[in-house]
Amino acid sequence: MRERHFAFFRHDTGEYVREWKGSVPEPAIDLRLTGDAREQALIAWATEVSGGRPGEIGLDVTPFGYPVGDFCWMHFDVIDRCLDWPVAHKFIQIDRATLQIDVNHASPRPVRSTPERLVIDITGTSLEPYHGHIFGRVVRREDGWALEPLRDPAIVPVPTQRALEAARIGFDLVTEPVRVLAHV
Amino acid sequence: MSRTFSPLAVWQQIPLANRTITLPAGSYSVRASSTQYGSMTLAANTETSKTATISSVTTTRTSLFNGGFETDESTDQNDAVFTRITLTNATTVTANRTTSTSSNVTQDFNVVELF
Repeated sequence: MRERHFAFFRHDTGEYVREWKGSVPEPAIDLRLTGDAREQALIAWATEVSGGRPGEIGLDVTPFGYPVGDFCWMHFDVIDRCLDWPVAHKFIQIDRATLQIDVNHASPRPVRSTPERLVIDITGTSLEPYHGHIFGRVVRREDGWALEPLRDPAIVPVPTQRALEAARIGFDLVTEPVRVLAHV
Repeated sequence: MSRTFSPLAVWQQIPLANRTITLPAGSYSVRASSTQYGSMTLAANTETSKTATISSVTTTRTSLFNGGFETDESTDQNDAVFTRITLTNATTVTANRTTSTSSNVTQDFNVVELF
């Protein structure tokens, strides 16, 4: 048995469907096979053990070494047989102890929170246009959470400060606002 | 425990919508690199170190690049505005400076993973 990680995409659109990681039987490939014959044997093995469903194309993504869930924004071009990550999501990081927003980060894969740092995906929200200049801290006001921007025009331009002040944050810092990942 | 698997040639006659196929590593191509980028701010007067959480990478095939910094510090305090950034582990980038200064400093970084 060996541990493998499989990600599945729609055969027609290349959209991500799901992924999983677990132990599967070792392949028994005739060492005398070469070229296309060897590849066909490996495809047969991967198809048998991966548990793919009709309409899916599965990929053995074990060599990437990524955690399960990291392929959720990736796209598989079925014609070119090429795995790509077309978009980078935008994140902000909050220090849980001080509530300081001290990192703005962009990545084509999820960024996971830690016990010390809360990471929030702001892609598609009203904050996204200001990504790269969202620094300051989170404060609790009567009507909910709000942003208190860093009063440093060199880092947070004045118009951005006004926009951040006006934003209202729709999450509760007591429970982590994690975007649901589509995985098994 | 191991099993022998036979080729798929005949099975591939079935429409793809009604069957599945899984490609092993090496049977498909992938974009040659993955890039993340970010900015972190070291607060005035207090902070000499800051850490940023990133998407998990394999450190042995990843390079970290300094993206420059921004500050309105006007004095010649190079040891306060120039930071050293390091890829601390698979999910952390750390910025360090010798001393803090009366101004905030924003340090940019780029993480490039090669395949």
